[in-house]
Amino acid sequence: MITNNFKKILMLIFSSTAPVRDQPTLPTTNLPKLVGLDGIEYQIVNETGWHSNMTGWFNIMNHLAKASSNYNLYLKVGTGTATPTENDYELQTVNTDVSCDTVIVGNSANYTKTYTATFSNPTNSDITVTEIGLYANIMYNGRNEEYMDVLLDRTVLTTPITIPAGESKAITYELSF
Amino acid sequence: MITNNLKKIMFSIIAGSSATGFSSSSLSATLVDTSGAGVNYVGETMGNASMYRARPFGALINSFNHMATNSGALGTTFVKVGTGTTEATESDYSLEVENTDITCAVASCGTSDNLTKVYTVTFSNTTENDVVITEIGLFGCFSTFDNDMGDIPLNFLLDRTVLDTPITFRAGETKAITYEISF
Repeated sequence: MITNNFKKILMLIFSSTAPVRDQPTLPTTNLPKLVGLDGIEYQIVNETGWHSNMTGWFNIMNHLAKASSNYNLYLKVGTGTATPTENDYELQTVNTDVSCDTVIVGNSANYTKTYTATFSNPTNSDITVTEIGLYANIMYNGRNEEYMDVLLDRTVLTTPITIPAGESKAITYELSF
Repeated sequence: MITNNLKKIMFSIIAGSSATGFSSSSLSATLVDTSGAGVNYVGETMGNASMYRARPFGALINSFNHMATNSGALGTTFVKVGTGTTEATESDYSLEVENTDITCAVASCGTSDNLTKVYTVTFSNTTENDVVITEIGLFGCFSTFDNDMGDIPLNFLLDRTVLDTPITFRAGETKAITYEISF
């Protein structure tokens, strides 16, 4: 389920104040607050200039990293089973035993972005993944150039994925309109 | 129902290849204008000038926040009404039966809680007969900028909704219609 954070970010596409032919630009007032992984609201601050353009935000949808880094998406897995809500701001129970080794971004039919991440289990025990989160690291404060991590989507798996001890598995996340 | 046009636009927007700036190189899509013709939007890679070169898509995005009362104004979104009843599909590129008897006098847009885009338009029935509206379309007027020819404004259907409950405009009556888009 996509989160309210993601909905607010997508809605910014419809909020450009730039004139017809100019580079799309965020408004400077009435910008939304996003909820960070700590559950605290962070006010988006726009500042006229290079960092303020809104397009950089959307370009991140084409950039996937193994872990949090500026202007990138990334995936985390967990073991929570609570039903997702649009108010979710973090996985219920993040699993830190598995590590993300490789990532691939692609496109598929019907206007779908695909995000594939390979997670390995270096422990001596099997790990059963029940929830997956898609995150973004974005600059929320253009004035001070401050970044934050936001949960864009949380999915609880209908069929959990077991990563056996010492093995790895690829997980593909699809996003379409 | 959101059309393939809008889906392609949204998909192209999130497909930018640049890390922080505006990359037009991967922004490409074939949209269908209101005449049914396919129109190619192809970004160009021009280094630092990409912001300028990408302006067809820039204008396209900017238009979502600029309302007009009718078609033809470059870089604007506008609403039309009609009398068609055929079920909406994502392949629609125009209203089934556009009604030109009632006219749009006022148009504005805003957001609701930063989660919903709200387009409000006021239509007037200036005829002496009642008009029953059964379909509403949200359109964008975008440019396929050409270096030699300049801006070439074209109209594109972004959403077509067939009303569960038709709206009747009495002769001489004015009514406001609110269009909401959310994810």
